[in-house]
Amino acid sequence: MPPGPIFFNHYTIWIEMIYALVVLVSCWLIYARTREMYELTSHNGIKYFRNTFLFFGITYAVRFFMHLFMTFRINPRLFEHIAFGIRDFSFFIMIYASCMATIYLTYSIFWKKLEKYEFSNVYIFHMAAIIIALISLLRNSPGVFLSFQSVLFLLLIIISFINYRKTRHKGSFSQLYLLYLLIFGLWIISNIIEFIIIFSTLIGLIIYGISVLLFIILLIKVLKKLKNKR
Amino acid sequence: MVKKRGKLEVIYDILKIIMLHKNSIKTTPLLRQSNLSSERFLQYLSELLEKGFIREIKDSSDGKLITLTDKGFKYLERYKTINSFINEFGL
Repeated sequence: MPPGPIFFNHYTIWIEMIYALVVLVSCWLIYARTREMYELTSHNGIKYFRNTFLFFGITYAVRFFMHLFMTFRINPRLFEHIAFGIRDFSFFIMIYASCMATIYLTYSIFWKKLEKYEFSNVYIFHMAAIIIALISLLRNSPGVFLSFQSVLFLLLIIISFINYRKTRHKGSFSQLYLLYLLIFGLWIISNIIEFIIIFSTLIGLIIYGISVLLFIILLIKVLKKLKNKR
Repeated sequence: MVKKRGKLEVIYDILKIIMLHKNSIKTTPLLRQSNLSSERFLQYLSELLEKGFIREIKDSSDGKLITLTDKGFKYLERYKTINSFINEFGL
């Protein structure tokens, strides 16, 4: 296990930055274009859906600025302490935001089932994400974070499977679950590659390429749906 | 069996009734046509007023008329898209 996340491989910095920027823009567009819809309805499902992309956006914004900062720092010695401070802070924000994004993604498709039990306190989610980010930062290890996300991923698979069986006749619905599962799955894989396995440019490129493509497909789906029947 | 209307659909129905009455209707016929109990109707009415979808104006006989605001018209215009979005994304 390397000491801390491997963010600073110069060979991959530009790929990382472009990847983060494309995903960031896609998330921002989804969040911004669904704003009117939420303002008109205050619908909880739309809120959780938007929050998913808000937090994914924050995650990728932090990734982007981290790489930007590390690429353009002038004197590494002068900036050493600042760089470590920024790295730790960014690591914390990234884990917190990505936990929130994946929680909201999972919650957005089954919140109705929990609503009848009056389980609507999202502060619990924020607390869980903060605790996971703190443990990961203090232990200098993403193990807790990755385990938590893997459990959520399993939960998403189960919910998707149950909902798929119920709505098998609706083709687009099951496609959407597949898209969610792929985005979530690739997010976990990309973290495993970045934090645990020494970064391989080729594997990284493939993972990033597919992830970017999935976010763009989701963005197109959202924009297309919002344009319809206007 | 008649399917129970969701909140967004009830709001759409109320706003549509107002629009179909040339954007001006008294509370009693609105209550009758909205197919809601008095209690639920008043809850919806106060929520719609609070959120700025409708407003109350006085008519010539000092009674109250309900009319749609721009936000109310926007809701009617966007309802089908919103509903379709919610279904499509399983929200």
